[in-house]
Amino acid sequence: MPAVQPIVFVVDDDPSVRSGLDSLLRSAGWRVETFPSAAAFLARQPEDAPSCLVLDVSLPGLSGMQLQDQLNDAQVELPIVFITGAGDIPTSVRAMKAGAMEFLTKPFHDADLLAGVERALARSRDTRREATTRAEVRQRFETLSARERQVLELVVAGRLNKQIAIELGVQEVTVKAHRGRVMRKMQAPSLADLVRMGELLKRRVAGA
Amino acid sequence: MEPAAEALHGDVDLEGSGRASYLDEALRLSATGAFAWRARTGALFLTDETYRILGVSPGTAPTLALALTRVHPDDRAEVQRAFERVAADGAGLDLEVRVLLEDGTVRHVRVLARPRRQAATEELEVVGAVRDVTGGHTSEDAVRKMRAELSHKGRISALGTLTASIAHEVNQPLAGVLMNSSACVRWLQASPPNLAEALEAAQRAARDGARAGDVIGRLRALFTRAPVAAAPVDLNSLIEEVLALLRRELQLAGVSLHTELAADLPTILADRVQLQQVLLNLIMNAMESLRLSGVEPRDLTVISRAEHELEVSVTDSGPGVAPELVDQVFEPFFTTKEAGMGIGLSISRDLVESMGGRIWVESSPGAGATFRFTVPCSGAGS
Repeated sequence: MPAVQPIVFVVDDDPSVRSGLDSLLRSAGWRVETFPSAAAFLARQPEDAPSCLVLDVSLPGLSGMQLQDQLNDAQVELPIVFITGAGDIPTSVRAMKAGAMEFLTKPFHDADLLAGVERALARSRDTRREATTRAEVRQRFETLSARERQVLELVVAGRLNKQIAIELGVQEVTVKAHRGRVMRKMQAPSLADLVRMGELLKRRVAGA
Repeated sequence: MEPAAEALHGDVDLEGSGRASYLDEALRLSATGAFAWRARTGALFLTDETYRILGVSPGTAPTLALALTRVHPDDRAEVQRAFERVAADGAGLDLEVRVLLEDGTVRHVRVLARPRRQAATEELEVVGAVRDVTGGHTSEDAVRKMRAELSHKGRISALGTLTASIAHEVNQPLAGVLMNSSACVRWLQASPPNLAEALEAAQRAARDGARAGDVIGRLRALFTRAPVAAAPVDLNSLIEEVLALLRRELQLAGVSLHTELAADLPTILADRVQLQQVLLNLIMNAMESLRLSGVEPRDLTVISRAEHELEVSVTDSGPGVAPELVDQVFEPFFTTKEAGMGIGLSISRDLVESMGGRIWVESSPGAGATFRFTVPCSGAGS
Protein backbone atom coordinates (compact mmCIF):
# COMPACT_ATOMS: atom_id res chain seq x y z
CA MET A 1 0.00 0.00 0.00
CA PRO A 2 1.51 3.38 -0.96
CA ALA A 3 2.14 5.64 2.06
CA VAL A 4 -0.32 8.51 1.87
CA GLN A 5 0.91 11.67 3.58
CA PRO A 6 -1.32 12.32 6.60
CA ILE A 7 -3.24 15.57 6.80
CA VAL A 8 -4.13 17.72 9.81
CA PHE A 9 -7.23 19.91 9.58
CA VAL A 10 -7.36 23.02 11.76
CA VAL A 11 -10.60 24.88 12.57
CA ASP A 12 -10.18 28.09 14.61
CA ASP A 13 -11.73 31.51 14.11
CA ASP A 14 -8.66 33.39 15.33
CA PRO A 15 -6.16 34.24 12.57
CA SER A 16 -3.17 34.30 14.98
CA VAL A 17 -3.96 30.83 16.23
CA ARG A 18 -4.62 29.52 12.72
CA SER A 19 -1.35 30.72 11.24
CA GLY A 20 0.60 29.62 14.32
CA LEU A 21 -0.88 26.12 14.19
CA ASP A 22 -0.32 25.95 10.45
CA SER A 23 3.40 26.67 10.71
CA LEU A 24 3.96 24.51 13.80
CA LEU A 25 2.20 21.47 12.34
CA ARG A 26 3.91 21.82 8.97
CA SER A 27 7.28 22.04 10.73
CA ALA A 28 6.49 18.56 12.10
CA GLY A 29 6.15 17.34 8.51
CA TRP A 30 2.40 17.07 8.18
CA ARG A 31 0.17 18.48 5.52
CA VAL A 32 -2.06 21.15 7.07
CA GLU A 33 -5.30 22.79 5.97
CA THR A 34 -6.89 25.55 8.05
CA PHE A 35 -10.51 26.73 8.20
CA PRO A 36 -12.02 29.75 9.99
CA SER A 37 -15.34 28.02 10.73
CA ALA A 38 -16.99 24.62 11.10
CA ALA A 39 -19.10 25.32 8.01
CA ALA A 40 -16.01 26.00 5.88
CA PHE A 41 -14.53 22.70 7.05
CA LEU A 42 -17.71 20.73 6.35
CA ALA A 43 -17.76 22.14 2.81
CA ARG A 44 -14.44 20.41 2.08
CA GLN A 45 -14.43 17.02 0.31
CA PRO A 46 -13.40 14.13 2.58
CA GLU A 47 -9.73 13.15 2.24
CA ASP A 48 -8.62 9.57 1.62
CA ALA A 49 -5.62 9.75 3.96
CA PRO A 50 -4.91 9.40 7.68
CA SER A 51 -6.24 12.63 9.10
CA CYS A 52 -7.23 14.37 12.31
CA LEU A 53 -8.86 17.58 13.37
CA VAL A 54 -7.45 20.30 15.62
CA LEU A 55 -10.64 22.04 16.71
CA ASP A 56 -11.38 25.20 18.68
CA VAL A 57 -14.22 24.71 21.19
CA SER A 58 -15.91 28.09 20.87
CA LEU A 59 -16.47 29.03 17.28
CA PRO A 60 -18.92 31.52 15.84
CA GLY A 61 -21.87 29.72 14.25
CA LEU A 62 -21.53 25.96 14.67
CA SER A 63 -19.41 25.40 17.81
CA GLY A 64 -16.58 22.88 18.10
CA MET A 65 -18.70 20.59 20.26
CA GLN A 66 -21.57 20.73 17.77
CA LEU A 67 -19.19 19.86 14.95
CA GLN A 68 -17.98 16.86 16.96
CA ASP A 69 -21.59 15.73 17.42
CA GLN A 70 -22.30 16.11 13.70
CA LEU A 71 -19.22 14.10 12.73
CA ASN A 72 -20.17 11.39 15.23
CA ASP A 73 -23.74 11.29 13.89
CA ALA A 74 -22.45 10.98 10.33
CA GLN A 75 -20.03 8.24 11.53
CA VAL A 76 -17.06 10.15 10.17
CA GLU A 77 -13.99 8.60 11.80
CA LEU A 78 -11.93 11.71 12.46
CA PRO A 79 -9.96 11.86 15.73
CA ILE A 80 -10.23 15.32 17.32
CA VAL A 81 -7.72 17.32 19.37
CA PHE A 82 -9.68 20.09 21.06
CA ILE A 83 -8.10 23.42 21.85
CA THR A 84 -9.85 26.03 23.96
CA GLY A 85 -9.29 29.53 25.30
CA ALA A 86 -11.14 28.84 28.53
CA GLY A 87 -10.87 25.23 29.61
CA ASP A 88 -13.79 24.42 31.85
CA ILE A 89 -14.03 20.93 33.24
CA PRO A 90 -17.62 20.03 32.19
CA THR A 91 -16.85 20.91 28.57
CA SER A 92 -13.65 18.90 28.51
CA VAL A 93 -15.34 15.91 30.13
CA ARG A 94 -18.13 16.05 27.57
CA ALA A 95 -15.66 16.30 24.69
CA MET A 96 -13.58 13.38 25.95
CA LYS A 97 -16.70 11.24 26.47
CA ALA A 98 -17.71 12.00 22.90
CA GLY A 99 -14.40 10.55 21.78
CA ALA A 100 -11.94 13.46 21.72
CA MET A 101 -8.26 12.44 21.74
CA GLU A 102 -7.02 15.43 23.70
CA PHE A 103 -8.27 18.63 25.28
CA LEU A 104 -5.69 21.43 25.43
CA THR A 105 -6.09 24.87 26.98
CA LYS A 106 -4.50 27.76 25.10
CA PRO A 107 -1.73 28.69 25.34
CA PHE A 108 -0.37 25.13 25.30
CA HIS A 109 3.10 23.59 24.94
CA ASP A 110 4.00 22.70 21.38
CA ALA A 111 5.11 19.25 22.57
CA ASP A 112 1.64 18.55 24.02
CA LEU A 113 -0.04 19.56 20.80
CA LEU A 114 2.32 17.60 18.56
CA ALA A 115 2.01 14.51 20.77
CA GLY A 116 -1.78 14.82 20.70
CA VAL A 117 -1.82 15.14 16.92
CA GLU A 118 0.61 12.23 16.63
CA ARG A 119 -1.71 10.01 18.66
CA ALA A 120 -4.76 11.20 16.73
CA LEU A 121 -3.09 10.35 13.42
CA ALA A 122 -2.03 6.95 14.77
CA ARG A 123 -5.65 6.29 15.71
CA SER A 124 -6.71 7.38 12.23
CA ARG A 125 -4.17 5.00 10.64
CA ASP A 126 -5.44 2.13 12.83
CA THR A 127 -9.01 2.87 11.94
CA ARG A 128 -8.15 2.98 8.25
CA ARG A 129 -6.16 -0.28 8.43
CA GLU A 130 -9.02 -1.97 10.23
CA ALA A 131 -11.47 -0.65 7.65
CA THR A 132 -9.32 -2.03 4.83
CA THR A 133 -9.00 -5.44 6.50
CA ARG A 134 -12.70 -5.49 7.23
CA ALA A 135 -13.49 -4.78 3.58
CA GLU A 136 -11.21 -7.63 2.46
CA VAL A 137 -12.69 -10.05 4.95
CA ARG A 138 -16.16 -9.00 3.88
CA GLN A 139 -15.23 -9.69 0.24
CA ARG A 140 -14.02 -13.19 1.14
CA PHE A 141 -17.14 -13.79 3.21
CA GLU A 142 -19.26 -12.94 0.14
CA THR A 143 -17.69 -15.94 -1.69
CA LEU A 144 -19.04 -18.43 0.91
CA SER A 145 -22.11 -20.51 0.23
CA ALA A 146 -25.13 -20.32 2.58
CA ARG A 147 -24.13 -23.57 4.30
CA GLU A 148 -20.49 -22.47 4.65
CA ARG A 149 -21.66 -19.22 6.29
CA GLN A 150 -23.70 -21.25 8.80
CA VAL A 151 -20.65 -23.38 9.59
CA LEU A 152 -18.47 -20.28 9.96
CA GLU A 153 -20.92 -18.71 12.38
CA LEU A 154 -21.02 -21.85 14.57
CA VAL A 155 -17.24 -22.37 14.49
CA VAL A 156 -16.67 -18.77 15.53
CA ALA A 157 -19.23 -19.29 18.32
CA GLY A 158 -16.90 -22.02 19.64
CA ARG A 159 -18.95 -25.16 18.72
CA LEU A 160 -17.22 -28.48 18.12
CA ASN A 161 -17.63 -30.27 14.77
CA LYS A 162 -19.88 -32.88 16.43
CA GLN A 163 -22.18 -30.22 17.87
CA ILE A 164 -22.35 -28.44 14.50
CA ALA A 165 -23.21 -31.70 12.76
CA ILE A 166 -26.10 -32.29 15.14
CA GLU A 167 -27.30 -28.71 14.88
CA LEU A 168 -27.27 -28.74 11.06
CA GLY A 169 -28.48 -32.38 10.80
CA VAL A 170 -25.50 -33.55 8.71
CA GLN A 171 -22.58 -35.95 9.05
CA GLU A 172 -19.54 -34.78 10.99
CA VAL A 173 -17.39 -35.54 7.85
CA THR A 174 -19.50 -33.08 5.89
CA VAL A 175 -18.92 -30.41 8.56
CA LYS A 176 -15.19 -31.06 8.35
CA ALA A 177 -15.28 -30.59 4.53
CA HIS A 178 -17.28 -27.33 4.85
CA ARG A 179 -14.92 -26.10 7.53
CA GLY A 180 -11.88 -26.77 5.34
CA ARG A 181 -13.41 -24.78 2.47
CA VAL A 182 -14.31 -21.93 4.86
CA MET A 183 -10.70 -21.78 6.10
CA ARG A 184 -9.42 -21.74 2.53
CA LYS A 185 -11.88 -19.19 1.14
CA MET A 186 -11.42 -16.88 4.14
CA GLN A 187 -7.63 -17.31 3.82
CA ALA A 188 -7.43 -18.10 7.54
CA PRO A 189 -4.13 -19.79 8.50
CA SER A 190 -5.55 -20.87 11.88
CA LEU A 191 -8.75 -21.16 13.84
CA ALA A 192 -7.72 -18.09 15.87
CA ASP A 193 -7.49 -16.05 12.66
CA LEU A 194 -10.90 -17.22 11.57
CA VAL A 195 -12.39 -16.25 14.93
CA ARG A 196 -10.82 -12.78 14.65
CA MET A 197 -12.31 -12.34 11.15
CA GLY A 198 -15.68 -13.43 12.46
CA GLU A 199 -15.45 -10.73 15.16
CA LEU A 200 -14.57 -8.14 12.53
CA LEU A 201 -17.58 -9.12 10.44
CA LYS A 202 -19.86 -8.96 13.47
CA ARG A 203 -18.59 -5.51 14.44
CA ARG A 204 -19.26 -4.36 10.93
CA VAL A 205 -22.85 -5.55 11.22
CA ALA A 206 -23.24 -3.91 14.63
CA GLY A 207 -21.75 -0.63 13.49
CA ALA A 208 -23.79 -0.34 10.29
CA MET B 1 -14.47 103.72 62.43
CA GLU B 2 -11.61 102.07 60.58
CA PRO B 3 -10.04 103.62 57.53
CA ALA B 4 -11.23 100.91 55.21
CA ALA B 5 -14.80 101.12 56.31
CA GLU B 6 -14.60 104.88 56.16
CA ALA B 7 -13.38 104.81 52.61
CA LEU B 8 -16.05 102.41 51.53
CA HIS B 9 -18.91 103.93 53.41
CA GLY B 10 -17.96 107.40 52.39
CA ASP B 11 -18.08 106.41 48.79
CA VAL B 12 -21.44 104.75 49.02
CA ASP B 13 -22.77 107.85 50.74
CA LEU B 14 -23.84 106.17 53.90
CA GLU B 15 -24.71 108.62 56.59
CA GLY B 16 -23.52 108.05 60.06
CA SER B 17 -21.49 105.35 61.74
CA GLY B 18 -24.61 103.55 63.06
CA ARG B 19 -25.64 102.49 59.60
CA ALA B 20 -22.04 101.58 58.75
CA SER B 21 -21.79 99.21 61.70
CA TYR B 22 -25.04 97.51 60.69
CA LEU B 23 -23.54 97.03 57.30
CA ASP B 24 -20.33 95.65 58.84
CA GLU B 25 -22.37 93.23 60.93
CA ALA B 26 -24.41 92.10 57.91
CA LEU B 27 -21.26 91.55 55.90
CA ARG B 28 -19.73 89.50 58.69
CA LEU B 29 -22.87 87.39 59.04
CA SER B 30 -22.91 86.55 55.36
CA ALA B 31 -19.16 85.79 55.47
CA THR B 32 -18.70 88.56 52.93
CA GLY B 33 -15.83 91.00 52.96
CA ALA B 34 -15.61 94.25 51.05
CA PHE B 35 -12.71 96.01 49.47
CA ALA B 36 -11.81 99.08 47.48
CA TRP B 37 -8.72 99.50 45.32
CA ARG B 38 -7.45 102.75 43.83
CA ALA B 39 -5.76 101.96 40.55
CA ARG B 40 -3.53 105.05 40.47
CA THR B 41 -2.09 104.84 43.98
CA GLY B 42 -2.49 101.09 44.40
CA ALA B 43 -4.05 101.74 47.81
CA LEU B 44 -6.27 98.93 49.04
CA PHE B 45 -8.96 99.13 51.68
CA LEU B 46 -10.32 96.00 53.32
CA THR B 47 -13.03 95.28 55.87
CA ASP B 48 -12.41 92.96 58.85
CA GLU B 49 -14.12 90.09 57.14
CA THR B 50 -11.87 90.48 54.07
CA TYR B 51 -8.81 90.34 56.33
CA ARG B 52 -10.23 87.19 57.88
CA ILE B 53 -10.98 85.57 54.57
CA LEU B 54 -7.49 86.34 53.28
CA GLY B 55 -5.95 85.24 56.56
CA VAL B 56 -4.13 88.56 57.01
CA SER B 57 -3.94 90.22 60.44
CA PRO B 58 -6.05 93.41 60.43
CA GLY B 59 -3.12 95.66 61.44
CA THR B 60 -1.18 95.02 58.23
CA ALA B 61 -1.13 97.81 55.66
CA PRO B 62 -2.93 96.20 52.77
CA THR B 63 -1.75 96.33 49.18
CA LEU B 64 -2.89 94.40 46.14
CA ALA B 65 0.53 92.76 46.08
CA LEU B 66 0.05 91.52 49.66
CA ALA B 67 -3.44 90.28 48.89
CA LEU B 68 -2.05 88.47 45.85
CA THR B 69 0.48 86.57 47.97
CA ARG B 70 -2.54 85.00 49.67
CA VAL B 71 -4.03 83.82 46.41
CA HIS B 72 -3.20 80.26 45.39
CA PRO B 73 -0.14 80.39 43.08
CA ASP B 74 -2.10 78.72 40.27
CA ASP B 75 -4.77 81.44 40.36
CA ARG B 76 -2.49 84.42 40.97
CA ALA B 77 -1.86 85.40 37.36
CA GLU B 78 -5.56 85.24 36.60
CA VAL B 79 -6.46 87.58 39.49
CA GLN B 80 -3.72 90.02 38.51
CA ARG B 81 -4.97 90.07 34.91
CA ALA B 82 -8.60 90.47 36.02
CA PHE B 83 -7.78 93.54 38.11
CA GLU B 84 -5.73 95.07 35.33
CA ARG B 85 -8.59 94.50 32.92
CA VAL B 86 -11.04 96.24 35.24
CA ALA B 87 -8.69 99.19 35.48
CA ALA B 88 -8.13 99.31 31.73
CA ASP B 89 -11.56 98.54 30.24
CA GLY B 90 -13.78 99.48 33.11
CA ALA B 91 -15.43 96.07 32.90
CA GLY B 92 -16.93 94.24 35.89
CA LEU B 93 -15.30 91.22 37.49
CA ASP B 94 -16.64 87.93 38.77
CA LEU B 95 -14.06 85.33 39.71
CA GLU B 96 -13.66 82.29 41.83
CA VAL B 97 -10.18 82.00 43.25
CA ARG B 98 -8.48 79.82 45.78
CA VAL B 99 -6.85 81.40 48.79
CA LEU B 100 -3.97 79.45 50.27
CA LEU B 101 -3.68 80.00 54.03
CA GLU B 102 -0.40 79.76 55.92
CA ASP B 103 -1.37 76.42 57.42
CA GLY B 104 -1.93 75.04 53.94
CA THR B 105 -5.73 75.00 53.93
CA VAL B 106 -7.40 76.14 50.76
CA ARG B 107 -10.35 78.51 50.82
CA HIS B 108 -12.55 78.99 47.76
CA VAL B 109 -13.42 82.66 47.43
CA ARG B 110 -15.78 84.38 45.05
CA VAL B 111 -14.71 87.90 44.11
CA LEU B 112 -17.22 90.35 42.64
CA ALA B 113 -16.15 93.87 41.73
CA ARG B 114 -16.94 96.82 39.50
CA PRO B 115 -15.03 99.97 38.65
CA ARG B 116 -16.24 103.52 39.30
CA ARG B 117 -14.98 107.09 39.21
CA GLN B 118 -14.67 108.90 42.47
CA ALA B 119 -17.03 111.85 42.40
CA ALA B 120 -14.47 114.40 43.61
CA THR B 121 -11.22 113.36 41.94
CA GLU B 122 -12.46 111.45 38.88
CA GLU B 123 -9.97 108.86 40.03
CA LEU B 124 -10.72 105.23 39.04
CA GLU B 125 -11.37 102.85 41.85
CA VAL B 126 -12.54 99.28 42.01
CA VAL B 127 -15.02 98.33 44.72
CA GLY B 128 -16.10 94.83 45.40
CA ALA B 129 -16.97 92.01 47.69
CA VAL B 130 -15.27 88.73 48.54
CA ARG B 131 -17.21 85.78 49.83
CA ASP B 132 -15.97 82.55 51.32
CA VAL B 133 -17.71 79.75 49.40
CA THR B 134 -15.50 76.92 50.66
CA GLY B 135 -18.37 75.05 52.33
CA GLY B 136 -20.29 74.76 49.09
CA HIS B 137 -17.16 73.68 47.33
CA THR B 138 -16.37 70.94 49.75
CA SER B 139 -19.71 69.27 49.21
CA GLU B 140 -19.44 69.69 45.44
CA ASP B 141 -16.00 68.09 45.60
CA ALA B 142 -17.46 65.27 47.63
CA VAL B 143 -20.20 64.70 45.07
CA ARG B 144 -17.69 64.75 42.25
CA LYS B 145 -15.48 62.31 44.09
CA MET B 146 -18.38 60.03 44.83
CA ARG B 147 -19.49 60.12 41.22
CA ALA B 148 -15.97 59.30 40.08
CA GLU B 149 -15.89 56.47 42.59
CA LEU B 150 -19.23 55.12 41.42
CA SER B 151 -18.26 55.47 37.81
CA HIS B 152 -15.04 53.59 38.52
CA LYS B 153 -17.02 50.90 40.32
CA GLY B 154 -19.45 50.68 37.43
CA ARG B 155 -16.54 50.27 35.07
CA ILE B 156 -14.97 47.57 37.20
CA SER B 157 -18.26 45.73 37.47
CA ALA B 158 -18.79 45.99 33.73
CA LEU B 159 -15.29 44.68 33.20
CA GLY B 160 -15.88 41.96 35.77
CA THR B 161 -18.61 40.50 33.61
CA LEU B 162 -16.20 40.67 30.70
CA THR B 163 -13.39 38.79 32.41
CA ALA B 164 -13.80 35.65 30.34
CA SER B 165 -13.74 37.61 27.11
CA ILE B 166 -10.76 39.63 28.23
CA ALA B 167 -8.80 36.51 29.16
CA HIS B 168 -9.69 35.12 25.76
CA GLU B 169 -8.63 38.30 23.97
CA VAL B 170 -5.21 38.13 25.61
CA ASN B 171 -4.89 34.38 25.36
CA GLN B 172 -5.41 34.12 21.61
CA PRO B 173 -2.46 36.27 20.55
CA LEU B 174 -0.39 34.74 23.36
CA ALA B 175 -1.09 31.28 21.95
CA GLY B 176 -0.05 32.69 18.58
CA VAL B 177 3.26 33.93 20.01
CA LEU B 178 4.03 30.56 21.59
CA MET B 179 3.13 28.49 18.54
CA ASN B 180 4.98 30.71 16.13
CA SER B 181 8.13 30.84 18.23
CA SER B 182 8.08 27.04 18.65
CA ALA B 183 7.55 26.69 14.91
CA CYS B 184 10.42 29.12 14.28
CA VAL B 185 12.78 27.00 16.39
CA ARG B 186 11.69 23.83 14.63
CA TRP B 187 12.18 25.35 11.16
CA LEU B 188 15.68 26.43 12.21
CA GLN B 189 16.51 22.99 13.64
CA ALA B 190 15.42 21.20 10.48
CA SER B 191 18.17 19.98 8.18
CA PRO B 192 18.63 21.93 6.11
CA PRO B 193 17.09 24.80 8.12
CA ASN B 194 14.13 26.43 6.44
CA LEU B 195 15.01 30.10 6.89
CA ALA B 196 12.05 31.49 4.94
CA GLU B 197 9.53 29.64 7.14
CA ALA B 198 11.47 30.51 10.30
CA LEU B 199 11.49 34.19 9.35
CA GLU B 200 7.75 34.23 8.70
CA ALA B 201 7.02 32.49 11.99
CA ALA B 202 9.21 34.96 13.89
CA GLN B 203 7.43 37.88 12.23
CA ARG B 204 4.04 36.45 13.13
CA ALA B 205 5.17 35.94 16.73
CA ALA B 206 6.18 39.60 16.94
CA ARG B 207 2.88 40.71 15.42
CA ASP B 208 0.86 38.56 17.85
CA GLY B 209 2.88 39.88 20.77
CA ALA B 210 2.06 43.42 19.74
CA ARG B 211 -1.60 42.44 19.48
CA ALA B 212 -1.59 41.14 23.07
CA GLY B 213 0.05 44.38 24.15
CA ASP B 214 -2.69 46.41 22.48
CA VAL B 215 -5.37 44.53 24.35
CA ILE B 216 -3.62 45.13 27.68
CA GLY B 217 -3.16 48.81 26.86
CA ARG B 218 -6.87 49.24 26.14
CA LEU B 219 -7.77 47.51 29.39
CA ARG B 220 -5.35 49.45 31.52
CA ALA B 221 -6.99 52.68 30.41
CA LEU B 222 -10.38 51.34 31.47
CA PHE B 223 -9.25 49.97 34.82
CA THR B 224 -7.29 52.98 36.04
CA ARG B 225 -9.02 55.44 38.27
CA ALA B 226 -7.61 58.34 36.32
CA PRO B 227 -8.84 61.85 37.03
CA VAL B 228 -10.87 63.46 34.30
CA ALA B 229 -8.51 64.43 31.54
CA ALA B 230 -9.81 66.14 28.46
CA ALA B 231 -7.77 65.41 25.38
CA PRO B 232 -8.47 65.33 21.66
CA VAL B 233 -10.50 62.21 20.90
CA ASP B 234 -11.30 60.61 17.57
CA LEU B 235 -14.77 59.30 18.31
CA ASN B 236 -14.76 56.66 15.57
CA SER B 237 -11.52 55.04 16.64
CA LEU B 238 -12.80 55.08 20.21
CA ILE B 239 -15.93 53.24 19.06
CA GLU B 240 -13.75 50.72 17.21
CA GLU B 241 -11.69 50.13 20.34
CA VAL B 242 -14.69 49.46 22.53
CA LEU B 243 -16.15 47.15 19.91
CA ALA B 244 -12.87 45.27 19.65
CA LEU B 245 -13.07 44.63 23.36
CA LEU B 246 -16.66 43.41 23.08
CA ARG B 247 -16.43 41.54 19.77
CA ARG B 248 -16.04 38.14 21.40
CA GLU B 249 -18.82 38.79 23.87
CA LEU B 250 -21.14 39.83 21.03
CA GLN B 251 -20.20 36.77 19.05
CA LEU B 252 -20.94 34.43 21.95
CA ALA B 253 -24.29 36.17 22.54
CA GLY B 254 -25.11 35.51 18.87
CA VAL B 255 -25.39 39.21 18.12
CA SER B 256 -24.64 40.54 14.62
CA LEU B 257 -22.87 43.84 14.82
CA HIS B 258 -23.35 46.64 12.28
CA THR B 259 -21.53 49.95 12.27
CA GLU B 260 -22.14 53.12 10.29
CA LEU B 261 -19.38 55.50 11.24
CA ALA B 262 -19.44 58.89 9.55
CA ALA B 263 -16.25 59.81 7.77
CA ASP B 264 -14.40 62.98 8.76
CA LEU B 265 -15.85 63.42 12.23
CA PRO B 266 -14.22 66.41 13.89
CA THR B 267 -11.94 65.58 16.81
CA ILE B 268 -13.55 66.43 20.13
CA LEU B 269 -12.01 67.43 23.42
CA ALA B 270 -13.20 64.97 26.03
CA ASP B 271 -12.18 62.40 28.59
CA ARG B 272 -11.49 59.27 26.62
CA VAL B 273 -12.15 56.80 29.44
CA GLN B 274 -15.49 58.38 30.27
CA LEU B 275 -16.61 58.18 26.66
CA GLN B 276 -15.47 54.56 26.49
CA GLN B 277 -17.45 53.82 29.59
CA VAL B 278 -20.63 55.35 28.22
CA LEU B 279 -20.29 53.29 25.05
CA LEU B 280 -19.42 50.14 26.98
CA ASN B 281 -22.53 50.60 29.14
CA LEU B 282 -24.85 51.20 26.20
CA ILE B 283 -23.54 48.31 24.12
CA MET B 284 -23.51 45.86 27.00
CA ASN B 285 -27.06 46.88 27.91
CA ALA B 286 -28.19 46.30 24.33
CA MET B 287 -26.42 42.95 24.26
CA GLU B 288 -28.00 41.89 27.57
CA SER B 289 -31.45 42.89 26.38
CA LEU B 290 -30.99 40.85 23.19
CA ARG B 291 -29.65 37.87 25.08
CA LEU B 292 -32.32 37.86 27.79
CA SER B 293 -35.25 38.36 25.45
CA GLY B 294 -34.15 35.55 23.14
CA VAL B 295 -35.34 37.43 20.04
CA GLU B 296 -34.07 36.55 16.57
CA PRO B 297 -32.35 38.00 14.67
CA ARG B 298 -30.14 39.78 17.18
CA ASP B 299 -28.89 42.93 15.55
CA LEU B 300 -26.91 45.69 17.14
CA THR B 301 -26.11 48.85 15.21
CA VAL B 302 -23.68 51.57 16.26
CA ILE B 303 -23.89 54.81 14.29
CA SER B 304 -21.82 57.96 14.57
CA ARG B 305 -22.64 61.22 12.86
CA ALA B 306 -21.89 64.91 13.10
CA GLU B 307 -24.29 67.82 12.87
CA HIS B 308 -24.08 70.74 15.29
CA GLU B 309 -22.80 68.20 17.73
CA LEU B 310 -21.46 64.69 17.46
CA GLU B 311 -24.06 62.00 17.96
CA VAL B 312 -23.61 58.32 18.69
CA SER B 313 -26.48 55.85 18.73
CA VAL B 314 -26.67 52.23 19.81
CA THR B 315 -29.69 50.40 18.42
CA ASP B 316 -30.76 46.87 19.24
CA SER B 317 -33.47 44.68 17.76
CA GLY B 318 -34.62 43.62 21.23
CA PRO B 319 -38.02 44.04 22.87
CA GLY B 320 -37.54 47.77 23.40
CA VAL B 321 -38.35 49.88 26.44
CA ALA B 322 -41.95 50.07 27.64
CA PRO B 323 -43.32 53.62 27.16
CA GLU B 324 -43.99 54.06 30.88
CA LEU B 325 -40.35 53.24 31.63
CA VAL B 326 -38.70 55.53 29.08
CA ASP B 327 -38.37 58.33 31.64
CA GLN B 328 -37.06 56.04 34.35
CA VAL B 329 -34.27 54.10 32.70
CA PHE B 330 -31.66 56.74 33.47
CA GLU B 331 -32.60 56.94 37.15
CA PRO B 332 -30.06 55.48 39.59
CA PHE B 333 -30.81 51.93 40.71
CA PHE B 334 -33.45 51.44 38.03
CA THR B 335 -33.01 47.97 36.60
CA THR B 336 -35.00 45.26 34.87
CA LYS B 337 -32.22 42.73 35.25
CA GLU B 338 -31.97 40.42 38.20
CA ALA B 339 -28.21 40.76 38.44
CA GLY B 340 -28.16 44.44 37.46
CA MET B 341 -27.15 47.20 39.84
CA GLY B 342 -29.06 49.79 37.85
CA ILE B 343 -26.19 52.23 37.79
CA GLY B 344 -24.88 51.83 34.25
CA LEU B 345 -27.31 54.19 32.55
CA SER B 346 -27.40 56.70 35.39
CA ILE B 347 -23.61 56.89 35.36
CA SER B 348 -23.71 57.24 31.59
CA ARG B 349 -26.11 60.14 31.90
CA ASP B 350 -23.89 61.83 34.51
CA LEU B 351 -20.84 61.41 32.31
CA VAL B 352 -22.52 62.64 29.13
CA GLU B 353 -24.02 65.65 30.90
CA SER B 354 -20.69 66.51 32.50
CA MET B 355 -19.29 66.66 28.96
CA GLY B 356 -22.06 69.08 28.00
CA GLY B 357 -23.99 66.48 26.04
CA ARG B 358 -27.38 64.81 26.26
CA ILE B 359 -28.47 61.20 26.38
CA TRP B 360 -31.88 59.74 25.72
CA VAL B 361 -33.70 56.63 24.55
CA GLU B 362 -36.06 56.18 21.63
CA SER B 363 -38.12 53.05 21.63
CA SER B 364 -41.34 51.59 20.42
CA PRO B 365 -42.36 48.31 22.04
CA GLY B 366 -41.39 45.32 19.94
CA ALA B 367 -39.28 47.42 17.59
CA GLY B 368 -36.08 47.64 19.58
CA ALA B 369 -34.47 50.50 21.41
CA THR B 370 -32.09 53.25 20.36
CA PHE B 371 -29.93 54.90 22.98
CA ARG B 372 -28.49 58.12 21.67
CA PHE B 373 -26.04 60.59 23.13
CA THR B 374 -24.47 63.79 21.93
CA VAL B 375 -21.18 65.48 22.69
CA PRO B 376 -20.68 69.10 21.70
CA CYS B 377 -17.98 69.83 19.12
CA SER B 378 -17.73 73.42 20.35
CA GLY B 379 -14.97 73.99 22.83
CA ALA B 380 -13.05 71.38 20.95
CA GLY B 381 -9.62 72.14 19.69
CA SER B 382 -10.64 71.31 16.13
